[in-house]
Amino acid sequence: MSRGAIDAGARAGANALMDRYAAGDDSAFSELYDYVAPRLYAFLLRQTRDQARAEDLVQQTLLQMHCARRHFAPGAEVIPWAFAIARRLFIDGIRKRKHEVLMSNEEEEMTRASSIPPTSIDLPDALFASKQLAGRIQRELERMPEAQRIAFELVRQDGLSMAEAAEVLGTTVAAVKLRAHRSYEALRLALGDVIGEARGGPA
Amino acid sequence: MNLPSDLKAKVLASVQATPAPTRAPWWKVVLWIVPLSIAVAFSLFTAMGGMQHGEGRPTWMLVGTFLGWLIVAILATWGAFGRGRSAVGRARRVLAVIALATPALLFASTLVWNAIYPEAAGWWEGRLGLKCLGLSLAMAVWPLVGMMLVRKASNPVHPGITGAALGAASGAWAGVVVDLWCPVSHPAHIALGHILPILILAVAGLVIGRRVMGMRAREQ
Repeated sequence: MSRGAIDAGARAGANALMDRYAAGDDSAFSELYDYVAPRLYAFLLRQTRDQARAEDLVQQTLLQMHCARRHFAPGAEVIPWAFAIARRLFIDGIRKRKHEVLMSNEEEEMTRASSIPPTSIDLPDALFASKQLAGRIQRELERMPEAQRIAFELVRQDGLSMAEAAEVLGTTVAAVKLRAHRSYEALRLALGDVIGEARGGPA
Repeated sequence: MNLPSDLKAKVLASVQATPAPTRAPWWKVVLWIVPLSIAVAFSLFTAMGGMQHGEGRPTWMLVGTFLGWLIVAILATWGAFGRGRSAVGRARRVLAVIALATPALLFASTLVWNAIYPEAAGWWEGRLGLKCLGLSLAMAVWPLVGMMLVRKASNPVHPGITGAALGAASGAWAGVVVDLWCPVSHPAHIALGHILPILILAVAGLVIGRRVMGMRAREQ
């Protein structure tokens, strides 16, 4: 099961809340926020790597959901819709502020490399190793084409199904499957040594 | 990865300060588009001579092409305007297929009918189809604008291609009426007067759809 797997019952509950809210039950919004906002925040924080921007985008996304509530189809899934809106606002934000384009991979790697050693001194070996691995995975993801990376993140890190990820990206399930598969393969290729070590067991 | 505690209060406050209409039944949503579109189409159709203008083609050809255009228009509208059970809408590829397959299918069906009734295809007489083109555009613009306004600021993923599919669907609806009015079946006339407007509307839908149906960040 993926790290961010979303419980089916809670998901159905959120869909029902959005349904109620679209129909005019304003009291449903607070509960809807509790379900949707943390997921949006995690997704947006990963995209922006900036807490303030992520918070701002969460706020804007929820405001858009409120403004567009009449368009929410009965029986539709709220999470793909919310993620699709969040992604649109994120992309629009990047276009508007071209001078604030995300740091290039190289610059970021340098920043990260310089930030890891001081914290690593106090960390136990296993924790340090897992942090390093997470950092490597993140760097490999950043090297991937955007379409592959986002498909991987939505499915593996945000716990969306292939169909939901396809909705967010406006593409077909087959295309998401292909992109996710390619990203797995790229990760496997790049992290082959780590996977090999893990299979071989701890020394 | 905890959310700041004051964010919820901020969001609730901004939501309360922003009025937003609630969902209406689908028939209420389209209530004004259908009568308006029919009224405009009927007025133009009668003003231009109505069914009498279209006389000359074999009856079965007339019935066949009318039904063909009608079926394609219904399917294109269902595909472009409907969103199934998704709040996001259909996949980009599906919408692209609707936008491109609608004119292609309609042109192919005309060629088939011309093959069945080759004598009808000869009624060309230099009629380029400019009247049909103008009539199609004049009729199609109303359902297109109506459907886009209904879907205003609702599409976070692909408003442009949705607009293109809606444009093709609107063009097909106009084509249903223009087909009854126009007696000419020559492929060149059909291409210019009946199919080109669908392509023009698809391109217009692509451009306008981005602006009208796309979601943008709101000033806070």
